[in-house]
Amino acid sequence: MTSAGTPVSDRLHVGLVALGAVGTILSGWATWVEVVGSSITGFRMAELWVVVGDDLGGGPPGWVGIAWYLVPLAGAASVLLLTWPGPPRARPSHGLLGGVVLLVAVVVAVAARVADATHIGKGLWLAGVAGTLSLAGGSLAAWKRRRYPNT
Amino acid sequence: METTAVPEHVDEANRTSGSKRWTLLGALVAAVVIVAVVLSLRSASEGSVVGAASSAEAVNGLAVALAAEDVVGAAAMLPPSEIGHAIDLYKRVIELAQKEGGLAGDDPLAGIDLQVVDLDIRVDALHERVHKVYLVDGGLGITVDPSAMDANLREGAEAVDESITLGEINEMLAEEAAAYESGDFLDARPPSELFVMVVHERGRWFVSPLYTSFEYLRTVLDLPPVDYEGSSVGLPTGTDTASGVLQQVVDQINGFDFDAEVEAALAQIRTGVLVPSIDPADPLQGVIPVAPDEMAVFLDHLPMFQGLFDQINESVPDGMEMDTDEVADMVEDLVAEMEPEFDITLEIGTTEEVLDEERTKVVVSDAVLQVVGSVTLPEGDGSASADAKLTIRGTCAAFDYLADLQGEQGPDRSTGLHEGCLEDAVPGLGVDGLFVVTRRIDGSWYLSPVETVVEYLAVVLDAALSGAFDGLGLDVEDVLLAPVAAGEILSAPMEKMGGDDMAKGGMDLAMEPNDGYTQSSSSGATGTESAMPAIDPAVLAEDCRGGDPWSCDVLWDYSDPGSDDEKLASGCGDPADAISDGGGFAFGACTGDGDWDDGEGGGYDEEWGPYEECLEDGMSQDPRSSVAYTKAMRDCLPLLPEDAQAEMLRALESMEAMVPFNECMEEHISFDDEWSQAAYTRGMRECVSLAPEDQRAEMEAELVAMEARLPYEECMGEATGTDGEEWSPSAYLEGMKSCVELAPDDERRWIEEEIASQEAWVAHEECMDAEMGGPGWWNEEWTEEFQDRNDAAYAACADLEPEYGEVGILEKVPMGDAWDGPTASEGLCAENEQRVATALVDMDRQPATPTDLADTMRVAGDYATWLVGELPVELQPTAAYLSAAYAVAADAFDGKDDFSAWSSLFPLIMDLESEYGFEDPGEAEYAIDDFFLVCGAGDIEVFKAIEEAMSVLDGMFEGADYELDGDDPYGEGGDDAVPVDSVMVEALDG
Repeated sequence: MTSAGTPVSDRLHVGLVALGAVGTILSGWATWVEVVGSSITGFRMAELWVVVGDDLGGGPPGWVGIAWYLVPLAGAASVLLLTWPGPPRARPSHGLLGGVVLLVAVVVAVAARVADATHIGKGLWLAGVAGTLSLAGGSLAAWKRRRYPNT
Repeated sequence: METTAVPEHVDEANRTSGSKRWTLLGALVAAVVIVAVVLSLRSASEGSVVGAASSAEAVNGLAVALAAEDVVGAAAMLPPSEIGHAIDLYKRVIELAQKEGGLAGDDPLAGIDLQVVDLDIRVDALHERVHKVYLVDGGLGITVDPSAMDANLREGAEAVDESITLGEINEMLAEEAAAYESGDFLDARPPSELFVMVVHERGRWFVSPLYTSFEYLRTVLDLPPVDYEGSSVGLPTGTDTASGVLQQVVDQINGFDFDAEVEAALAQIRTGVLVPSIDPADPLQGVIPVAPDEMAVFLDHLPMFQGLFDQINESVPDGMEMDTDEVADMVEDLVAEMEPEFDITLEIGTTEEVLDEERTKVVVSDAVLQVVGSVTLPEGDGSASADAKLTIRGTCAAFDYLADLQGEQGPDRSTGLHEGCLEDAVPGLGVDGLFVVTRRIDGSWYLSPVETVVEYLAVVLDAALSGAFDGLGLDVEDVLLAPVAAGEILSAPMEKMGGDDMAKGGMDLAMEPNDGYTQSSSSGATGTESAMPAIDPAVLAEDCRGGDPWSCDVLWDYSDPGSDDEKLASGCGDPADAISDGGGFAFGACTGDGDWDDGEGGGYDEEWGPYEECLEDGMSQDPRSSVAYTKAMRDCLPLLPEDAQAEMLRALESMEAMVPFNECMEEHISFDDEWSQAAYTRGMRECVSLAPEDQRAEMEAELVAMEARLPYEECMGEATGTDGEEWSPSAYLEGMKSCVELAPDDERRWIEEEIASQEAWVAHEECMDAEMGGPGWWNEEWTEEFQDRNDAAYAACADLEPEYGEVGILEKVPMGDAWDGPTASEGLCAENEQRVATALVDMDRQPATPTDLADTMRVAGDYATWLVGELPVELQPTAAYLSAAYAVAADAFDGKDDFSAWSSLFPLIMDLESEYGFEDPGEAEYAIDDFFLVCGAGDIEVFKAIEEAMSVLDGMFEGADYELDGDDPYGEGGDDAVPVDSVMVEALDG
């Protein structure tokens, strides 16, 4: 305890970030978008993103599809940042990674809502929640570091 | 409470140890994720892969899926190179079956239980990527329980409970195989054991229907072994772009060398071999770059096919052997004598649509295929040539041809034009045009026949599900055969695609079985003289006299001008009703407009008939009232075909907005009396405030112009007021001369020119009267002597005959056969045919909106502009006038909410008249039609299309029967589809 008040529990930050990281990774194998007639898991989504990328142009074919794989890799990076060097510790950069995942999830969700034949799947909800958790955990860690620089 | 002090170094060591464990755990999780991502990347890059890890697992997996009646699971064990994304269609097929009533639920296999138990297999690894899996033993069974089946499949189904073992089947096969003796050609040897072929592709094993089929064929026909390295030899290279695949096809077609092909065929005949050998080192030279994995099965089996060809070649019995050199000499002599020439050119434009990472759809947005050929007929019988062109724009296509036979009987030219849009025939089909699907493999693009077929099926299924085929009387089989239907639509005669000008000798007459169309100077139409059934005018005359209107109309076409037959036909069976048109008798249009289109419908349109009858009833009290017409339309709307109601409703709403104005106008002007432009102008001044707001400004501007002409119109009304007497050209001429000073300055010039024109014609007419022995000569019986006298009179009065089309010197009644200038050359005929075909693709004969009409006008304007550069000097102003007139009309309609903009055309057309000397486009079109008459294609189809398109304005003229001056240009009771442009001219004339 310091004169500045009770510090926010580290366990809360770590828990939020850990849940976010796991959710982000798992979302890669869950259904992001449901298309009439079939469901599309996270990695199958890449094919659709390739289509988007080709339509947009401005890069090699499939560049958007490849970019999409950064989502589960962001989850992996979150885990690494959480545990290296141990013990588990939330960092401001977790908030950044969570924000990226959340942003991707929101963009895909908007696209899925706009398109006639698509609906938001569980994987997309999971990614959104996971990104939010990571963002919250990382933001709390950043706030704590500024508020309690010596902890 | 005692505490044990922990040394700091121990605590530090524990923390360090814990940190390492966490770090290790985190690194492990991250590594697993990265590996999973990499594997997924690889999986995605390889496409849709399910299959199995080994050939045995693939067979077992398929057996399990079949036993579970799992269609999707079974499809997952089949090679992607053979079924592509076909499984994506499964759900849609089920939905369509439900929609069509074939299925009540979503499981077509409900109540059917397949059993595959204790499967015993033996794998023979023929090649590293091809395994032969023998089905040694196991139980197969099927149980059908009708009560558990889908409700719609249950009827007629019988309970089944059958089983057999693979061992039993193999025993039977082994006995058959042991009893086999090599026999004659294509003798069948049964396999001694059941098997399936399993192939390795995309890193997985799949059960291959194609390899299995070919292997059975090879075994049964005892053909040579398969070379499983064959698919790695001589593969075509892919292209850099998806569209490049089609471009390669185009290049190959354009590179087709007819002479070289003939030479190669002759060389082949000389070898004495019926079917040429396959070069295994380069079997695919010059062919389309097809996806290698989809071709693999065929390439692997090349030795088998070669063996099959050898069997065919060896099978020719001794007595039937060809003296191939003799045959080749004969063919060579024939080729030398006939000098065949053949040229084919293809140009295409494409667009790409990415389906997924691997597949891209290449759509043919534009294509022009031209085939030109000619031969010299043997023994000096003349020559024959043909020029055919297929033009495709999206889903619209036009096909035109020109065939020319120069024989002993003289030239025989045949032409034809067919056009149609798939979207018109099947609205909502949702295709952009013909397409192929290409696949990207290792960075290059290849044609994928499998995915192309799958995509076509997907398009058809989607369209069927969206109801595009509903109401067309098509069932599922028709839907799946949509490409065939499209071909039929394309080859349908034009009158069935909306054209209705058969009476004038439309191009499609050449394709009609009963279209022996002889030259008829009065009709101005011409046709082909190809082999057609002879028509007996006597029979037609008898039928016409008996009351058959169709016979009357056909008889008119076949009868000589002024003849009794023509008179009978003109009167629709009663000569007393015939209408003289000066040189002969006018076309009676006895069947009425539209009956030509109905084919077997007996003249009654099942879809539109009730609506038209209702409309007729609704207007029976006041057939010329636009208000009555509008109200009748509203009442009859529900009787329209559903798909036409929305469009008609839009038109109706636009017309209803005009009802207050029209009601007011109908109070001020009477259609029963002589038409009066002055009364119309005064009425308009009274009523213009009731016009829809968005049209009021335009009408006000028009009104100002009309009021400026009012003194002149009133003067003309007094000068030509005939009180029931016939309209007199001389009174009209005198009226113009006395009233011209009252006309607005900007209109005085054309009136003066009109006066000059009238006077010129009066002088010519007086000369003719004098030469022919006085007025009334045109009522004399038309004999050869009369014809000679008439020709002589025309020659004597030639100096007085005004030049057609000359500024200020106009024909009052343009004569289609009066053009005596140069005619089109053969080259120009052909070029014009192509140009017309190209223009027609973009023309809308039934424009739904003013903008559509404007677009159609612009296309015709482009065509006329082209004509300016092609026609002789004498006719260039004529084409220039058309170009300008179409442009003016296009500008008038473009972007307007409704078709009422026609009214603003009057002053603009008058301006053009003063500039070019033509009263209306129809007048100029006649001259150009005549110029191209020699081509044998009849009237220019572009002009006909314009006329049809303009017929959407008929409703603006108070109904289709409306005649502004009571004169029907086609005779009383004649063709009620009065060309709008002629109506407009009459309105101008007042």
